[in-house]
Amino acid sequence: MPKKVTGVIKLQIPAGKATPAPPVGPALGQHGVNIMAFVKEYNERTASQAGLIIPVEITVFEDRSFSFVTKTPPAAVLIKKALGLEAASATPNTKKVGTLSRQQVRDIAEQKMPDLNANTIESAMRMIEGTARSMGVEIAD
Amino acid sequence: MPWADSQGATPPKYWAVRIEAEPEQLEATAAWLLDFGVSGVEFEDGRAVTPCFGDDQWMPSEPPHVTAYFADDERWPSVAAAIAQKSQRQGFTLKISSILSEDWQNAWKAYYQPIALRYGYGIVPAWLTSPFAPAKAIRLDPGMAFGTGTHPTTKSCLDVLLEQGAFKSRVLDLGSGSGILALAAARLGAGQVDAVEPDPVAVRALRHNLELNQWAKRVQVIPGTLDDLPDGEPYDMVLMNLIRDLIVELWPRVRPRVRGMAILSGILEDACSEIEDVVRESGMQVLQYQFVRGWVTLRVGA
Repeated sequence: MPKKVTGVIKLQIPAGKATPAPPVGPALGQHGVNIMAFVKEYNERTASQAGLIIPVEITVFEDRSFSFVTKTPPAAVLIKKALGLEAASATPNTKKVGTLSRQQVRDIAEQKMPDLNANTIESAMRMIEGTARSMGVEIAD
Repeated sequence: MPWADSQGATPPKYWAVRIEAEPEQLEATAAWLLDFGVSGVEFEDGRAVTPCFGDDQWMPSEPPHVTAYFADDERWPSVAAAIAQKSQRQGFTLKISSILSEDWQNAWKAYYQPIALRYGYGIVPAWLTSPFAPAKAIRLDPGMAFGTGTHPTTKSCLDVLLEQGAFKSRVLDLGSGSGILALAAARLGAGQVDAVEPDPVAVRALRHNLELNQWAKRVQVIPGTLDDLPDGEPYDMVLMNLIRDLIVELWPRVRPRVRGMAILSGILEDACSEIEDVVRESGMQVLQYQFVRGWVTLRVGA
């Protein structure tokens, strides 16, 4: 029998290293989810990706039980990794922090494809480019 | 309160910074907030979610936004100024509110009820009246430590342990967290239970739980790891409710100290065969498997 969903919590947290501190504690606590049970299971399932920020979607059911799925790393994290960036630009319109090649955009789009609402690789690439520009990263022609 | 710092310090305050932006700007905004060193963000992209086991799609009721939490420390004023400046420049909607850590550390407790185990035993949250016979009740205040008895790995570990019946013997609980398994072993009559736990927060919860259960004097707390366990007689029962990597790493060193059996838990089903191999290589075999919701608990012995 399907269980009634009472909430969905979306987080971006470090793989293998989640703790009950914010954002996990306040986000889960207000839904009545046992915080430590989530932390243990999340860390176990993401241990092999330690060092990366991973998006996770936690579905909370009426009886306070929950399930979760992890996603591919955020585009912004992959862009920073591809360029070896320390930080995104605080003023993306004026201060540029790097340039992505078309091939790098394509690689990231392919990696993100399962989680993007995109039908073609071209539209996925446009989404990645949009995120890149918002970070102060230019795209090579 | 035991889950707050036992020195009576006030719980830390956090600032919740919520930025509403267009969906295509959210990821970059999240990345920018993460660059301040916060340990993650809440991320509502406005997309519908198809939940596993759920009936319908879940449609978010709130506009797309990112929320990050900052400790109320000396860095906060400059962080707040930088965030306000960026939000104004990019036309984001910014909301900042303060929260106390206690609010979320305790919110879920309202939903934590007594848990009936096999043979009339049961776990009772410290703040509730026990529905179980006095000789079969285990009082527990998990605080911020692992081991509330609701997680499938803990629950099935308890099931397998209770099946062994009353025993007067030496027990080792490696990574005891809140102490739930050590307490269950003592409740069953174990002569001596050594509870090893490296996390100071868990050790505090563990000590508190021993005080809650006056009969639990036979549990000895050993803060630290396997390296801190004093030499002594081998154990009749070893409990390892850990994770795969730790079991694989520790088992060869634990094995010589086992003269009876061990219960290994915290293992995802797809890691089962790896653990079986490690056990066999050490000259023991699997005596029992218990599968619960994607996890497996193994009872092993010579």
